[in-house]
Amino acid sequence: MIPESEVRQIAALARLDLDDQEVRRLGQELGQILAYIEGIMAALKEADQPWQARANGRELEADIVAPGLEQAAALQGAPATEGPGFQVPFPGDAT
Amino acid sequence: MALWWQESGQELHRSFLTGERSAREIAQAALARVAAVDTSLGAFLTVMAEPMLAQAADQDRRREAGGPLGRLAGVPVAVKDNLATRGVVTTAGSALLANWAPPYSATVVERLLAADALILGKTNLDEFAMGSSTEHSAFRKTVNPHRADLVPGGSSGGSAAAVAAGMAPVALGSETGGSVRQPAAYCGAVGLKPTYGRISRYGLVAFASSLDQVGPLGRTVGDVAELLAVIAGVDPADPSTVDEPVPDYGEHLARGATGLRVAMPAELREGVDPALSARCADALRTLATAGAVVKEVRLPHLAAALATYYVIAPAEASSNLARFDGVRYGVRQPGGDDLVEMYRQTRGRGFGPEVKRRIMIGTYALSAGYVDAFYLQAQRLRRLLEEDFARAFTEADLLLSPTTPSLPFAFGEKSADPLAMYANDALTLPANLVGVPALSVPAGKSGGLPVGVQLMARPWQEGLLFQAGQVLEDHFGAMPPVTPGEREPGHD
Repeated sequence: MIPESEVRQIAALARLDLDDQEVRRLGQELGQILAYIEGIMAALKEADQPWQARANGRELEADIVAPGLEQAAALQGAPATEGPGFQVPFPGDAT
Repeated sequence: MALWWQESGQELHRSFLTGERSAREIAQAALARVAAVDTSLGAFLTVMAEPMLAQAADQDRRREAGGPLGRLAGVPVAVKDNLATRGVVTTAGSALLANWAPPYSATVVERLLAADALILGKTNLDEFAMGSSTEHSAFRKTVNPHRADLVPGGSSGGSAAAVAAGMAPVALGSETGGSVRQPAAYCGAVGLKPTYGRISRYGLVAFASSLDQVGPLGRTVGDVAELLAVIAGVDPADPSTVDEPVPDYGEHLARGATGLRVAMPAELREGVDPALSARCADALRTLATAGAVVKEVRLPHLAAALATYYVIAPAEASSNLARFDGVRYGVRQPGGDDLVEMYRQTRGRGFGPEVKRRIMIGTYALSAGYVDAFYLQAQRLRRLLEEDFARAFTEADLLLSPTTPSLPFAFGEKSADPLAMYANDALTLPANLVGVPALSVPAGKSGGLPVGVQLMARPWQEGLLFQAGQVLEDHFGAMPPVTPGEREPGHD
């Protein structure tokens, strides 16, 4: 079980609005899932180097700059636009 | 002559080229099949009738004029709804993207179109491909064509059901931990997770970028090999793709199993339903009878794979899904005048419970104080798994296992227990963690339900999977398409 205060803290980091019922349920579920993961990991502490992304023995392709979406196309799926950009509410103080 | 929906993609393609059928007849028949069976199945979220009929008319004109035709001309293909289709709504199974029509198409969709595939529509999935049952779709329930009280598997449940019910001979799905192979096994289809880097992910709605791959499904190994040949290959739009030659997979299908070294690691049989283990042992005997050499290998760290996956995949998801904040696309919830509050409301109301659960696990695993214990430790374990597989592949060319630990389960059976649902991926997700290709092939039925067996190979060796997969298909038989509600003959 993860304490409700910690669930709310994680939800704030993830920018998720959760109702009280979700907070209680997630506290319980995350507790079970993380306990399972911790149990497995604790039994295998000898691991040394972390995994690193490779291309299965091949060279990664170069990251080449190429033209992207036209501005109008990029704006087309936006819920709200203003002039040449996305429209958003003014950032307030609350976080 | 077989009814069109009983034929493979390659048979349909030939019937179009020889003039036996027009592309228009095939397209209309596919639409009629969807109209007849999809009300009860729920495989499709969007049927692309008009564009498909326009494609068919164009192909008929070109055939008439003796013009060039692609290698999938006359073949209906279903596409999972997390692959972008220009101007056609692409939901990823999420209410948050209910009305999002992307301004571009995924590279794999462009390649299908260039090969003259007839794109039939977009198929249902678990929201953002997170799930093993397609129960987490925000839109509709997809049922298993073999039995309506059972799930089709997931997350590519719509694609697997569409193929198994004969609505399309082939389909595209996507994999992060088994989302092509597991529904293929549950529905009696063939499903491939290619080598990481084999297929472009450009235009695939990202879940966990170090694990995600697009994968083909079909009713025959040959159709899956053909679809892979069309969509595989380097793509400048996805730097994780590799400039590795794409072989002629068709040539592998006739090679047989002589001399192939095959192992069935004990660690991939733990916790498996004995009926499925028995089918897997049948498969091993079949390959041995065909000339394969049976080897023994160990995967000592496999017990850590599930825990490793359920740290890495949610961690990457929590980062990837940060983009769904109601600013650039999707449905925005009003959040007063405050920007952060708008993000929270949009994401809180837009995401379903499974997606929120995974974002929370991922955020937790990446947060200060836990990142070493969870995320970095998971990456260390991933490396040990990679080393296990590399060692195993010095002894064996192919690893064989059941695709799933159990037969398809009932709706709601695992909904209240996320860990039980996650455990369902235990045999498929190792291939995603280590980046190797893996193929699920039907191995007959148990209790009237399809059983899948899985083959894994070294990176870039999809050809070996098709080679052995064809031997198994020749022995067990490809699963014929089913009409929901109709009693099927024999096969048990």
